[in-house]
Amino acid sequence: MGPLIDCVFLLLIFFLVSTMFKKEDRDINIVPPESDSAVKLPPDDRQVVVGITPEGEVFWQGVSVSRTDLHARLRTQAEDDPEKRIRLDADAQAPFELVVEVLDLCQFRGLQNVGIRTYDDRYNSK
Amino acid sequence: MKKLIIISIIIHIILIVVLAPVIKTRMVFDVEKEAERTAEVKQREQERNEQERIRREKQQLDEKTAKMLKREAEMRKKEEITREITELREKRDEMMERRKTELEQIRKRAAKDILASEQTEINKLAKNVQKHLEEALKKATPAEDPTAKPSELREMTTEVNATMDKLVEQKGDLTEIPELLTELDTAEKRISEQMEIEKAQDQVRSEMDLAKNDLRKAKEILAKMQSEGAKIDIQTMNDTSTAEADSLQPPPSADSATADASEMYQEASFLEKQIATAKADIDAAREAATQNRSYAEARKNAVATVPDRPDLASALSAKAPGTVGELNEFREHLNQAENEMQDMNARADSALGNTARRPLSAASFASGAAMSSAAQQSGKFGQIVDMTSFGNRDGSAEMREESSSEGSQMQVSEMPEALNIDEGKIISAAIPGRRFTAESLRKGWLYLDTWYVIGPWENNSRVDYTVKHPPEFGIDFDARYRDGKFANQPGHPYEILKWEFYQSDQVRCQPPKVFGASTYYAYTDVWFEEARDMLIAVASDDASSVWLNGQIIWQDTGQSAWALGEGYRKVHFNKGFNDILIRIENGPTHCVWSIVLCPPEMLNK
Repeated sequence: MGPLIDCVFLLLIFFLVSTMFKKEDRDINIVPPESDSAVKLPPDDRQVVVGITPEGEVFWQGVSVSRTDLHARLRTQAEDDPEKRIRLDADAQAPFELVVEVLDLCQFRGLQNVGIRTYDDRYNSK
Repeated sequence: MKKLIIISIIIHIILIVVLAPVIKTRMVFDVEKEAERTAEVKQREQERNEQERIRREKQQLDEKTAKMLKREAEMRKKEEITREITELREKRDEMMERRKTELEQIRKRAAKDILASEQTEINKLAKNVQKHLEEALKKATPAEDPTAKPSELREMTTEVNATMDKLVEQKGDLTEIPELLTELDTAEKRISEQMEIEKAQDQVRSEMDLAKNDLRKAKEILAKMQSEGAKIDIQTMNDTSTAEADSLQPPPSADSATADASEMYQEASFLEKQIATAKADIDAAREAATQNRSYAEARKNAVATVPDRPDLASALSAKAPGTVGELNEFREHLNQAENEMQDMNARADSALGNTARRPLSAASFASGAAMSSAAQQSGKFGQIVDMTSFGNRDGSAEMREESSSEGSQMQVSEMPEALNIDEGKIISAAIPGRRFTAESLRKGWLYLDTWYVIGPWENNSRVDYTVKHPPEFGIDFDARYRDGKFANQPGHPYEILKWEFYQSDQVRCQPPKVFGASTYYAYTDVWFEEARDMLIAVASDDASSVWLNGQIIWQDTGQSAWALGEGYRKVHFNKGFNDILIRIENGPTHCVWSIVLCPPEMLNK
């Protein structure tokens, strides 16, 4: 009985610890806008994250990119997999025209599966 | 045994309690207090982390360790950087190969190629002469007996047609011009004599008179070709020694196996500059071909645009870091170098895509010059010009590779010469868009509402298309231009020019901020589900030039108010993405443009 309990507790501890392993950080330091009607979706590691900071800097998967590079990457992404989920992490203070530009670009390239990340008090702080 | 079990359980419970803070569970508290406490804890943690970071960064490294860590950091990034530089080398080689081919075409250019646009005009006039004479013959034939064609008129028509065929076949060969001029004189005399004979028949005479006028015009152009041809110094015009890409000084060659990151970054910077310079050499060749200019003159206007890059070569070649902070900075520079090289590759792709379109060939001289000439708006309101049928007398495709695309069914002969449309009806009915499918095209008129706009540059209230600005050499959304209208006014919002995203809610578009006596550029791309021909209506206040996939399709001069239906072009769009660049020349006040598309077959509905 003792060894069985040991095994159970060891397994429990193992899973507790292993779920804390660090994943590739594609998030940037922003405060997203709030929305009451946002839909909660399960996390998806395969989605592409496009970030926009308040200064208007654009990030692709956590890496700063130029506008030319962003156009090229979206074009390539649309050719490879137009159904890929794109998550737009735009800061609440990001220039609105840049957000519109990125959304328009995604739609124009045929990337229809685009979502905007909103504030979640479990993950963000103001 | 029991004791052991109990001890085991107690130990496990202690372990779980210790690990409990790691598990994110919600307990029922005062939420606000919890949030405050969490914020404070986070704040303290951040401060602690920051202090720890500063302490770590000031930590000294001994030379051996520093060198080892630096080498290790480089090795980690080596694979990515090597991949980027290999791709960049391949793109450079491809660009240089294209450049070599196009410069070769310029070097082989003959005097007749320089005069290609005149030859195109002569071909058109010769065709008109033949058409008028055929009409004259038709009108001279009695209706009750269509087979009884007047023999003298028929004979004269045959002789003149033969001369016209010869005129077209000489294809600008200057040695044949004197003989041709004599034959044209003879043909003109024959027509005059026949007109004397046909005195009673006014309709026949009028057709012959038209034929004679066109023949005279062809003679004048031929004589001009002869005098200009004699003045052409073809060697000077074709001299491509001002091409620069192969005379750039490369850095010491970096062997990927032994080179460090600094050497590879230096080489990447050089490759980027060489690709941009090769593109400028190619652009100059195309300008020389289509505008009948000397290569040297065209090369003066071509600009090799290379973005300002951070000087990472020095940062990466610095001596081994002395502290952990310097080592982290070095790692940051490596990441940045990789990003910069990825950006270089993206730009190289764009430059290659740009030059792949319609490579220069021997046939380009005639069609390019003719296209430039046809793009000119003649002033005839509502005129339709078919740009797809360029280069071939039988109207088959020049702009498109196959004649099977949609919209091509409406052949040149079916299209009206001019179109008069209800402007108000189109403005109210046109829908915006940039992606065109069979479904959207059935809706008729569509307008382009999304643009990237840049400007103003100074135009001194004159329309001068020979003065070119950077967007005509390549579209770079990250570029910052310091040669604009307000470049010498520090602090002016348009002191430095950059591309701005713009969407219009109506057919007419205008720059975000309008200044008089200015030049603006607007760029967009459009997507077509299938390749097809479309009617495109360009209107602007004041003058504008439009390029579709790098080919000029519209150019007007002079100040004019915006009027939809100023002129139309039938153009070919490729399957997939097509880019459109418009240059708008603004006079004193309003600056407005519009581009509206319509499938040609919809005109019949």
